[in-house]
Amino acid sequence: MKRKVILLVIITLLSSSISGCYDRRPIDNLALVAATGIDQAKDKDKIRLTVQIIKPSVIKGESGSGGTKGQSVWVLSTTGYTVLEAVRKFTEQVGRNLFWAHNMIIVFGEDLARQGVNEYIDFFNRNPELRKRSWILISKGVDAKEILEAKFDLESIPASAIDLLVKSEKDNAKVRAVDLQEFSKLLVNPQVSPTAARIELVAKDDLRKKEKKAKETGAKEPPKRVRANGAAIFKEDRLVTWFGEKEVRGLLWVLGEVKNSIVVISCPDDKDKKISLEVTQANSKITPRFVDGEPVINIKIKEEGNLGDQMCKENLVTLEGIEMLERRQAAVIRNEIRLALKQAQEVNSDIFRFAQVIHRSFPQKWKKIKGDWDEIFPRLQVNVEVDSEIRRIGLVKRANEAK
Amino acid sequence: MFRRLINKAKDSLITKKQKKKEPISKDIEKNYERLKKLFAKSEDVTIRRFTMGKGKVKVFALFVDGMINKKLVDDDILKPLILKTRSIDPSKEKIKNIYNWVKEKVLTADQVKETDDFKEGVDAALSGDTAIFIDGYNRALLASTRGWEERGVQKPMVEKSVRGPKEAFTETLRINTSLLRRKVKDTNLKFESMVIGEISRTLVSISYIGGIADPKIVKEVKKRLKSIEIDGILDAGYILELIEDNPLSPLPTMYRTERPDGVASKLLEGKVAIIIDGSPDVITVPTIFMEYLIASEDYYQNSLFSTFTRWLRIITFIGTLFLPPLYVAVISFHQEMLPTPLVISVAAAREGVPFPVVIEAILMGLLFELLREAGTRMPRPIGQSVSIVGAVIVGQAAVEAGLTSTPMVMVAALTGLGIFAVPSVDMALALIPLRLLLTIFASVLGLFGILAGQLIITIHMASLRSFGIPYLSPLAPGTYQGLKDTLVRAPWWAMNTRPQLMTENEVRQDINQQPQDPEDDESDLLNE
Repeated sequence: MKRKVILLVIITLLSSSISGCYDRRPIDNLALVAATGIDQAKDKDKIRLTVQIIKPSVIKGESGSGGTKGQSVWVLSTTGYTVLEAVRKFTEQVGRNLFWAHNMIIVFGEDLARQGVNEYIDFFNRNPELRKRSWILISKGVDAKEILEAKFDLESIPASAIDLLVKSEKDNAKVRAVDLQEFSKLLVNPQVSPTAARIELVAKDDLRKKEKKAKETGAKEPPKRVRANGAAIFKEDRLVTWFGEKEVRGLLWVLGEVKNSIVVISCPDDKDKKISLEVTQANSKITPRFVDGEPVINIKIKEEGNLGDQMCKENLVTLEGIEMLERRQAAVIRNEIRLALKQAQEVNSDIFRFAQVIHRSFPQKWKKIKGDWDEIFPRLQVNVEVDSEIRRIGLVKRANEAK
Repeated sequence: MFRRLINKAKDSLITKKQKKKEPISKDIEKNYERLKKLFAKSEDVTIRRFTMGKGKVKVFALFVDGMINKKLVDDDILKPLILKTRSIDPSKEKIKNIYNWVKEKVLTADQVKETDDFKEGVDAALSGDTAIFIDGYNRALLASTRGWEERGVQKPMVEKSVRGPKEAFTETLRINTSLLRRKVKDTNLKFESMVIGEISRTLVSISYIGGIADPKIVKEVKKRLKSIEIDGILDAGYILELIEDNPLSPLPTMYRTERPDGVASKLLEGKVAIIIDGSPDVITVPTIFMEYLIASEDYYQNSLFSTFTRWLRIITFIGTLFLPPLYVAVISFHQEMLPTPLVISVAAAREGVPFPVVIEAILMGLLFELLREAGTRMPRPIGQSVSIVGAVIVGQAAVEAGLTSTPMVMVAALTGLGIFAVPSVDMALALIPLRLLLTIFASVLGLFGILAGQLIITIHMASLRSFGIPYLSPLAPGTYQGLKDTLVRAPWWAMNTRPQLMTENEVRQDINQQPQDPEDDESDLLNE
């Protein structure tokens, strides 16, 4: 018995050494990828993959003694027919294994997005290293590579700056932020269409000129600035149109994802003067019903908010005043939703996921209309009802009158 | 395998030594000559010859200088024997048995035993008694005159506490038993002694409370102690290793402490204490794992706070065992588990470190042990400077020289600190090999390896027994009653039972001891 136990222990200990260091990848042999960009390559069949690799030693130096020792990230590109092929080509230049777990954003160039992203998203879904929480971003007007090359003053890693940007703009209801998980889920469903965040260079023409000038004179390049707002609207896996700030909030109202936003309305007497209302809470209820065999969608938005500030001087904190504010706010919201609806119906892309709602509520009837959804959606009747409420008016009743 | 080798070596060496009784001769001269020969070249042994009763009876006293209390020997033995009997003629006073007369009427020492074994007389003299041989009798009187230079009762050096008694055992067995007797003043507190060690003749005392301690365990302790055959016992550690259940396990299965209050509380739980002369540590058995995470202070503090500190210790214990292996596993296998900013700073710190992380971890662990060992051996004034030098050199310089990374230094330091939160030194030392095992497993198979290693350790712990009691009890096998003093420290009024497995009398106290609000007695109020 004793001998058997000892034998067992020895076998266990030895077998652990037989496996060597299976699957070991020491942290110092890894190249941490912070951001990925995919563009159309010059060769039409190929793609150009751009990655932003973190340089830990530079970041360490920055936090330590101050003074910049060069860039904190390394942006480089390869081309290939498939994503994996392009990824493997990085070893020629990098020498370390790319490590994807800390990838924060995936940017698709506009050109590529218009041709369809389905073939290229597969790598990211299949790779077990990758977190499904990377934001999917579509760069408007510029290549994804240019977005990855942008610099930020506050954050040492551009990718994490963009990550923060998307998060904060999402809270302000200015961008439709979609991560890899959600994007892939929407992509799978043939009836609904995915959306993604729009990202663009700020005043790019102006910056381009400066850049040219800088190159000519040999001065330092002015930093490119990036902003995330709006949304990229897809039909199936192809980019079809862009949503601006107004339309994207219209979309977010319907999806019930507005958390904190400012609704601006004009004063009752003076159109030039404005009142801003702060949204504190909003939710939406989408109820489908069938009228003569045709689906009709009712959207009910319930919104609560505060009076943030007003430029006009009259006292609005009366029963009538508050009611008026609520009415106007509801009208603005309704307008935004209508705008989004109109645009979406024009390109026939069900970004509101009405199809899913109908499917859930009327599974039998849905089966009949499922095949015709592409024809039904553009002429779908949607009723929007907004219930807006002002909860708090702040510390003063009326604005101070200038003497 | 090792044990068989050891056993073989034992068998070939041991020659059974039979103890034979050696009678004392009636002729005092013969005894004297024999002793003279026995103690030749032992200058500390004194044989004082004199006569009693008008020079008629030859007597001598045997004692060892330095082991006796001189005043006692002078006042209670020599003075009465020589002065009191000077004017008495035994034959005239009709004293038939001089031996009994001396024993009952002359000697004023408080404890007088007698023996007819020559060897026992010699042994008694060697332990500080005075042996008195009287001509014509084949017996000797043994008067207790022990007294030597000894360390007084001092504060505990290792197991310090804020609240509670602040006395510690010393090297003298009698003082140690008195410390226990002072805490447990009951007739059932037993001290049974035996002599262990062929040459050192060390006195070992087994202590327990009759009626509470399980007689089977007491019997087992005695059996194991009796089977010891060794030349000398110099410390409790000898006994510990000789009678342990699992001598090859890194985990200690016999608790030793220098605090009398701790031993007294364990005696009250039904445990058996082994007190060894010459050792300031007292062993208590049976021992369960949880005892090593309990400080005696737990019982003197508020029960809520004690529960909190107990959990702190449990978490620290687990942390100090698993932190380096986890670090190794995460850094070499599971980088995706770390938040991005952390992975960047760790990667930055690792940049340029020449060794793989597992080598780094083991080296830093060894370095810490080296510092600890050096710190204990150093004379106190130097010790402090060593710890500062160690911290500065190892921490700062090693990182700056690129030999190790800052996170690793932090892991090693935290681990080292955690060790001191384990109340028992024995258990803290046991952690070192276990941690090394886990670290190697982690470096080979990552988290899976840690899991495997942890499984091995847990299975091993569950299989351990201490004098028949499962090591992990009362957690496994679990008892609801046992939890009151394991995961929490219940208030004293709720501790109604003793640990079930190791006592024959489970009921400790009455239930309903919880303090109550004073009853409103209206008549009292009215009377005022």
